[in-house]
Amino acid sequence: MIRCLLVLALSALLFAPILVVAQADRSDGIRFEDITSKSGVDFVTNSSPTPNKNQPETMISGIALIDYDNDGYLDIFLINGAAIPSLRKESSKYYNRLFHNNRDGTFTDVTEKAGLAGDGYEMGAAVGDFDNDGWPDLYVASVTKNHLYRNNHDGTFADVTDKAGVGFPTFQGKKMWSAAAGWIDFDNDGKLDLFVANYCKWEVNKDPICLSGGRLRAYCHPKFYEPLPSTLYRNNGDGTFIDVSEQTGISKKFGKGMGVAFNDFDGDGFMDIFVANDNMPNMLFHNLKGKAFEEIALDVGVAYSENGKAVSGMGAEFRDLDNDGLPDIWHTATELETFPLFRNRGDSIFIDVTARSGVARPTLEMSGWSNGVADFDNDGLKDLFVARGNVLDNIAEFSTRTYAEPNSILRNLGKMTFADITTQTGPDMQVAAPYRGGVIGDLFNSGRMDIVVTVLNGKARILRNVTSNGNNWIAFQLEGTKSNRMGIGAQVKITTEDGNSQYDIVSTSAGFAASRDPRPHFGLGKFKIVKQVEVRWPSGTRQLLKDLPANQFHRVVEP
Amino acid sequence: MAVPFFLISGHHAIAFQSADTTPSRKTADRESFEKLAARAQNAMNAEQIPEAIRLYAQATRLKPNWSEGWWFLGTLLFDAERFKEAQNAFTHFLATEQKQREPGFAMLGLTEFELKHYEKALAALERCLKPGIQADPQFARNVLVHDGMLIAFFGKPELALQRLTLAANQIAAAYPEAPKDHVLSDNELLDAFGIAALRMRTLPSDLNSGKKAEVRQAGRAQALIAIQDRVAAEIEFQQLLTQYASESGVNYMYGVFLLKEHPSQAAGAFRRELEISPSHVAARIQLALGSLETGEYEDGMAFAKQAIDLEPSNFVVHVALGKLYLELGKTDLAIQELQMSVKLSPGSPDAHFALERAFLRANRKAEAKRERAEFERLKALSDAANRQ
Repeated sequence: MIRCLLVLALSALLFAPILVVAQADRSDGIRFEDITSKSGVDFVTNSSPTPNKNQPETMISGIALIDYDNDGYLDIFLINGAAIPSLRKESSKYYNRLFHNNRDGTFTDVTEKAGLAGDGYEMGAAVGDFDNDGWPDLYVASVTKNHLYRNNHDGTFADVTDKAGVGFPTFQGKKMWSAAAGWIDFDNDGKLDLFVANYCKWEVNKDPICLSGGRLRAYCHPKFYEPLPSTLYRNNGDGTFIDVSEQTGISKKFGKGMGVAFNDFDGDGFMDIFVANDNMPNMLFHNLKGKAFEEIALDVGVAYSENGKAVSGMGAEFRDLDNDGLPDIWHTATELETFPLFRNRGDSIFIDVTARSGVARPTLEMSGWSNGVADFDNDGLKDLFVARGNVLDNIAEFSTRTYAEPNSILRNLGKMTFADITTQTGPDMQVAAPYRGGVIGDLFNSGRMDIVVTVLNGKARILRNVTSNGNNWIAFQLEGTKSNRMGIGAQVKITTEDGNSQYDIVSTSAGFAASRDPRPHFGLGKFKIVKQVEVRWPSGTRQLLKDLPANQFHRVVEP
Repeated sequence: MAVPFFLISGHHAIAFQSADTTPSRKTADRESFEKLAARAQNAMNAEQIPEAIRLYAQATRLKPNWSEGWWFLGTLLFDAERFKEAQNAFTHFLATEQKQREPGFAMLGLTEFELKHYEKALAALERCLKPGIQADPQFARNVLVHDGMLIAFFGKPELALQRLTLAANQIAAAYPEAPKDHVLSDNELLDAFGIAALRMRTLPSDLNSGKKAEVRQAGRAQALIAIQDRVAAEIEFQQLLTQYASESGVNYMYGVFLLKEHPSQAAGAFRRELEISPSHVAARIQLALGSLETGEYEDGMAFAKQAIDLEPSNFVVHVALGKLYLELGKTDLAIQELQMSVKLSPGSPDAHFALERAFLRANRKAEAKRERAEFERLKALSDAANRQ
């Protein structure tokens, strides 16, 4: 088998880690340092807040990590709003922005050359190589027209939305407000399909008047808006897509979709779809062998929180958190709801372990938006991150709560238990702001997972992981041949010398409206060799790799 | 032909359609009745109340199926504080009016309240509210405040607070220029709020002078919560706690407030309540439910068991205990408790959901499916009611 494998262990020199060790504290705990000011990333999310309290004003979130120039380093794409009521980007302050990673801790704004400034009131981003040319493409979900940008391989993108037919997810003749999207090869035909989560019926300056404190106009509770179905586009392989929402059963179920995450919860080889809904039951679309979907969230136990209530589902992650090979689900919500954590028991049942895991207690007072799962300290256990901020910009005028909140890190202590260690992660993690977007990726190929966050009507921040505990790691860049080129949907299992295994999936879809680092990353602790790596490709091919050295990215090509 | 009419009698303003009236009398009688009705209306318009009452009474004797006449007669009698006769008039109104009966139930309920027939009053007011109240804000406020008072009196303070919150919001909506001032100047509402929030089983009229100030202060805090001004509510709470921290119910009420503001501090308030009121069931339930979030399951178990000893018929306690058993891996005991909760409150979606979760843990999938179906059915009903 080995001869079938093309395993290129890219040297640590190629992915030269730029070590930035915290000067004042050499603690071996998780630490982050804000490098925004010296990075050259100068981006403000402009939502155009108005007295009319238009619902989208409080929700812009999207961030994508995309190596658009294939130089091996993730670049940053940030979503932006537009003027109200025109919902057009009337000036450059509303542009979406693409920042090229200069590999030295700085970034360069390449938006205009790339042609990614956008034109409407945008919400979310999703990275996927839909044409299998080896260059990542970009989909933008929007209140207005959605866009598909094809990578031209020269630092520019072409807007191919109209040809592709993915610009107008429609319900009752109207373009739906799309909040998030994700790439998934739901039928395992080797071509990436597109799932779009739509939020609610809405028209500019026609929001109901919702008063808080008996006097202050505030953003209305989602219950005042009508829900919408999600949209699934199947990739025809010729640059066009077809809306298969109805024939696959996706559009039967209505929600207020925000977080979208994919994984194969029952191990049948087909990717399932989880949608975190805002104040409506979550949806879990079980993939019926690529032909159709059945919505089973209530049956399997992920529709509601532990007390049978629909919470304000926002960001979502769908990855194995307890190293048992079964993907679990964790999503954010607002204050007083806790952030539900559902452990996959393996028999198509999820158990709500929010309280038992220690997640309930710290998250009870948090208002969460995007989230993410990654092993920040490379100890072999995936930790949790949440971007926080109250929904209501005037909350402090009628509540003792605050609009700005600090982000949080919950460290995985093993056995599906977590502890909020935010206060130990450095002063830069303590900065409160109305955060919305949040995405995880290894920006500097250092083996440490960094975080990018956006702030509503404030500056985006890059939080570099400067944890210095000496733990080892391994990461993989997959390249599909029969499967889709990015290997999205591939399941990766690693086994270390002690016989323990870890699992992850290749997926860019995570959090709220975000697109994360697609490269599976594993912390190895003291281990410097991974005894075995097993990749289960979407095509069904199983691939084994042996004795891979740690602290490297390994390129794995589907045999 | 249905004739729309609008009545403003005292402060009970209602618009509705009268029932069709079919001539069933001789022509002479009809002429006589029509003259009488016109004279009654003129007297009412001229505010000659005793005369209007006399004429409407005469007209309704002449034509007993004249619902409009019974309505006017009832409201005039009510405003004249002749409640026994008003009760009779509204009873006749409800017997003769087929289309718009809700205002009749409302007025009958208010009348029964004045007669101190509290069970009958509550039943009538609830029948008025069942389809959702659609009346002018002041009338809606009257109905909701009296309904809230009675629900608290009969021992359901949480439901009472829901009704009173609706009343506060009716007032706030009616006076958008100064909603808070109007809500806080409604002493009847404040007292009703205070009683419900302190979980007292009494009526404002029965409060002794020593308790009135405490109830009023608690009512101010609760009214501010109702209109979502939690900053102002916190200030009122601090005053309440300064003066009445050792009174029963005050710390519990503050704990409930903290659950929405600083839940980690709420347990302290509930524990203080238990020091003051050792048999306080609701505080124990809150502590048991809170332990489900903090993971302090053994502590929660103790509180839940004590609450069951004190109030074995409270289904929420059984839900809490069942969930605690489930977290501790005692699935069979969990199912027993949750089955009890469903038995005690078969209409509670929460109880069915918790039981469904327990059956799933026990791999009793068929039973889980049955509970899930019932949960979905009840949840749909509950959601529909909440949308009204």
